[in-house]
Amino acid sequence: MTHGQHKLTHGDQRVQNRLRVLRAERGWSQAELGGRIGVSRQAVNAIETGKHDPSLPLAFRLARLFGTSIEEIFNDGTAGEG
Amino acid sequence: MMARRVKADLAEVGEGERLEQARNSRKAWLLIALMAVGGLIGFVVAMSGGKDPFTDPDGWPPAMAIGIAILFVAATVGGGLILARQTDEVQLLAQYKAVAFAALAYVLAYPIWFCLWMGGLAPEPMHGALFAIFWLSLAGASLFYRVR
Repeated sequence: MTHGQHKLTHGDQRVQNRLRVLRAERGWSQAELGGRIGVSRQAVNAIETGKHDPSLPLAFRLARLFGTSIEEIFNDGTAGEG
Repeated sequence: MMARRVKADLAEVGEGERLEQARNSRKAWLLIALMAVGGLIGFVVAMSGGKDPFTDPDGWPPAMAIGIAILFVAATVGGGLILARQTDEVQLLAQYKAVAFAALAYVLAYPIWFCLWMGGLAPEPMHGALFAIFWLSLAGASLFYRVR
């Protein structure tokens, strides 16, 4: 796992995210990112640290904001598996 | 001077932070308004001295009783819905868990208290105390789920 990625465990499934890295690349605070996607600073922190799995609409908002796909932000460790 | 400094501080924050601050401000005002309504209802109830309107000739007039009940429902349901629209999914989830905890506390507290009363170990269950147990459980659980 690279620096800035966080794990979320759901049974056997682990979801990692690159939210902190993407946010840092833009020099945004958690409150700044939260305001841009309509959630609180605490919510951004909960997602970044893997305490909360974002809903699909929120994941799409994040992907649109960062100009990338959901899979580029969130990875359940099965990327590339067919 | 103060206003200029606040303006300068706001100019330094990004668009997202300004939106976040505005949302927090709306929530704070809404909470203050709801607490004011709750305080008003609580004050009126406290002033009534717990009189029984069915037996006490000085109990509440029916129109007043209906009016306060409607105000309470409107503030609780309407205020809750408006507040939920200002609340993100993480906070909502925490709130749902807190409500479930408080409901469990209530449905456990009453039968336990009732059994203890039947056994002569406690005074008769008081509806005001049970109502307070629900709200205190809700506040405690809400705080717990938000800060953990």
